[in-house]
Amino acid sequence: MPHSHSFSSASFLTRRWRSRTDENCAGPKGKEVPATSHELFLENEGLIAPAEELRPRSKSSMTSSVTAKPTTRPLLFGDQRFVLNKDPSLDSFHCDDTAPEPPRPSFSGLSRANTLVTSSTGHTGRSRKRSLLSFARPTPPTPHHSTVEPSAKENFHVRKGSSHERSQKPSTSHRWGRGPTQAQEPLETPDTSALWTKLDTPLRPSASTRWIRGFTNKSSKHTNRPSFSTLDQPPPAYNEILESSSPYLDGHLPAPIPQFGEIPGFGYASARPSLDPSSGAAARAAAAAQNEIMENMRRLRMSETKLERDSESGIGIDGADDSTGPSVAVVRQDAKSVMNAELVCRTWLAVAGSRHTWKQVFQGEYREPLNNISNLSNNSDSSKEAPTRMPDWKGKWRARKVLDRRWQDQHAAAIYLEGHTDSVYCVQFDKDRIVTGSRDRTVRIWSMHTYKCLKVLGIPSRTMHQLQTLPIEEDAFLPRPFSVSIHDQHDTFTLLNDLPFHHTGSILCLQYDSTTMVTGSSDNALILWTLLPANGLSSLPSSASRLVGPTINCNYRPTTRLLGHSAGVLDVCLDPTRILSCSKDATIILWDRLSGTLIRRLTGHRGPVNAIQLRCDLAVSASGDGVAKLWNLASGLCVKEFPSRNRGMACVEFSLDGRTVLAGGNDHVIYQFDTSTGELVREMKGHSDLVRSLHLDPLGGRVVSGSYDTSVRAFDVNTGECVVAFTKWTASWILSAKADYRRIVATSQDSRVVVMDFGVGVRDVGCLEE
Amino acid sequence: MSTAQTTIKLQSSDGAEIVVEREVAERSVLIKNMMEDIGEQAMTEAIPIPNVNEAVLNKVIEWCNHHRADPPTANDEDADSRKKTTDIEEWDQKFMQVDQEMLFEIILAANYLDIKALLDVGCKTVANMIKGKSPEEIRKTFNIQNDFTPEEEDQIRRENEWAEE
Repeated sequence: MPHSHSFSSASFLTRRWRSRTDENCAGPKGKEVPATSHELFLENEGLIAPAEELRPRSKSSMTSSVTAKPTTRPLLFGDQRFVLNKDPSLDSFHCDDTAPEPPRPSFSGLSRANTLVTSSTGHTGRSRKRSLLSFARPTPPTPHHSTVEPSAKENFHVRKGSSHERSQKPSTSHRWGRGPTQAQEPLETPDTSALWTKLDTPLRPSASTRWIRGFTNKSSKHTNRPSFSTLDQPPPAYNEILESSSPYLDGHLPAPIPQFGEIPGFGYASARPSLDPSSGAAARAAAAAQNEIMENMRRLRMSETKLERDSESGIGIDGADDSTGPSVAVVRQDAKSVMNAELVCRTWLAVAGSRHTWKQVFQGEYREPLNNISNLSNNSDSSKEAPTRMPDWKGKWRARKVLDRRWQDQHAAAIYLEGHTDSVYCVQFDKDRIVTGSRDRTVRIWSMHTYKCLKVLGIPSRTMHQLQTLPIEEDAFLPRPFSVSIHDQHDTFTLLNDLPFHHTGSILCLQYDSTTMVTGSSDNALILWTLLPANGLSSLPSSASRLVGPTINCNYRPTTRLLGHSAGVLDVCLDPTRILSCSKDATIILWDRLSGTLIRRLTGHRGPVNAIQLRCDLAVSASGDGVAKLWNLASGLCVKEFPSRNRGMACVEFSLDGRTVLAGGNDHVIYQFDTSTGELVREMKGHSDLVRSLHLDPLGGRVVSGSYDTSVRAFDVNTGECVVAFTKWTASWILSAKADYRRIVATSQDSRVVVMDFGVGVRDVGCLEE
Repeated sequence: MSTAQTTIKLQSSDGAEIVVEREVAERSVLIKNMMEDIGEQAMTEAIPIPNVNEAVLNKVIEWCNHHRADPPTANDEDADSRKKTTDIEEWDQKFMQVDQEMLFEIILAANYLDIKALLDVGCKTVANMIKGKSPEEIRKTFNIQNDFTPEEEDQIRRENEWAEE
């Protein structure tokens, strides 16, 4: 059973990584890469010293392959114990969570109560426990049978006129949340549900009462009890409690009730189901337990044939449904406190360790690591069904914690993607794929899961017959469940032959979203590509298509050529309605994304515009003339200028809130400007050569920069400190680098793409991407 | 709001009738909705609150009275920021200085009566009782017995160790 499903993806990566390491200990290609010339104007314009015309290629094979970085950078995977002795059949991102249905409680006196207690802790609890904790000794199905029995019979209080829920109060110090009250509640409900219009309403107060009971054990022992108007009565035997409550439930109600009987929930529960009955670890714990009980109750009611009223019209159940997420927690507790709470006792463990609790912890600390692209791409196929699998929030939190530490320790594995035959200028990636554009005039789509090259778009600048070698080696990695349908050789060839048009120059820039990709080239043109879902995808089980993401396997069709620049297109960005491109011809052009028409040309730069970023109606551009400009797109006017100290700017990036602009260039530093005042706020230092690329990962709060000093650095966007510095991972200049919460993908002039993955071997890292 | 109907009567679980200003009572969404639904009838007869006894009801009304002028809480956007803090304003802190039983009764009552802000305060108070405490301290605070075997406890500790490095 799926006891270890949550680590399977991580283990896959690890094993693959290790196997590749074993096979490829030859080390990185030690090829010598002389400085070369580039289409990029910033290089030709004297930002960089010009080099020879064409650098010799030591390798012209078109074959894609992946080699792991050799052991020069020792990598320790502390989590390997999780991947050893694992069943390879579990290697899948998709893990079924089809835990067996909890046993349906039957109605037979005490036993039904016990069943409920067990299933409430055992149902989700058991499967969860196993995956999270893997107790050597699994909890037996009915471990607490004896504790459910009322063990002490003194100090039971029945309050005058109070509801049946309060008819008992055990005084022993058994754990809160367990006791006769808990056992009793399920008994009430079938009767009450038959009685009341709103079936769920009795559950909430009673269930909440249950957890309070435990808490109040202590105080009920106190001699100076609070001045409640309670009647102390001799403790009724357990059967008496049941009996005494049943006539009441059968309709002998307190006088005022019938009068208001039609008011939803009146008298017995809140009319509002979305109450937050708890908080903190304890309270949340209780709430989670309550939810599980309610879930069971709901099932129970559904199977209850004697019910004639519509039991599903109940208003209380939505909060209990796990898919809607807990609306139960009010206060977020820190992880440390929750972990302490888990150690208090079994009941607390069941609830403090529950998904609800950890979801709150996770969301309190991290934002969801999904990027826009993945979200969008899910929409595009209208396959955004509710995930069948419940996320393992504790696993997610733990994986994020480990990732954070690895970022701190700069502990990443390198995966090299080889296939391009010349400098790789641009990259964008999401959780499923990596898209790169190269000087070899092609765009390549790589799988983020297998690192295989899935598609090659465009005619490589080398000879045509090299296309024969295009099909990627199949056995580069262990096959994954979905890999069969991803790589379609025939499709690749057709695409290449059928391309109505393609770039005749280097691919200098690209950006994509769920439906469209736009590329800019040194042939002065931009090409708009439409992402069409591949035909074969629909035949896949929906689970598989969700795994892959609908667009990873799609066809890329060039639809429009945007002509307007008189020199190479150096950078491009798009939003849902517009495309913005900048060029060596010193202009910026705003295009209509749908029609492809030129809306506006922004002029003002006196040198090539090397980079551009778009944020709502603002754009910021960086130019070889040494100035970054802020533009108002509506008016087409430059509203602010950010000058560099000396020389040209090569890259630019908005901060997440748009309040600051980051820019880098030939001054070797990253400038941070205030957008509104135009003042220089900070300089981030570390690079020793031109800063070629900047990318902000909003989730991680890091700015990743790639430089001609062959290093990739990451800076804390809040403090400006350099937190990661990877130097010499590539043989030549870094031309582009982007990052998300777990990896940096950098492209180099040495024709390779390097994935610096902090998540290799991290337990549960796969579930972060669900 | 018409002046004639400014007070209503609530009947606690133990039969006590408490006269409350309508505005104060309507801090409870339950009561507020009920008033809207049944109108006049509610003005003339005592509204039974069968889940809350007199002492707790009085306490809840005391809170509602103090917070009668609070702006209505914003919806879920606000909820998120609310969750993040366990800060409790001073008056509420004092208000919540009651024994544990009363504290939990208040939380229950707030839940039942649907008084979100009071529920928040109560829950935060409990959260603060847990926060930063060792498992043993938590057990002491709430009088809970440790029912783990030493092996189980060890196992859980080991599971969580990685986070504490």
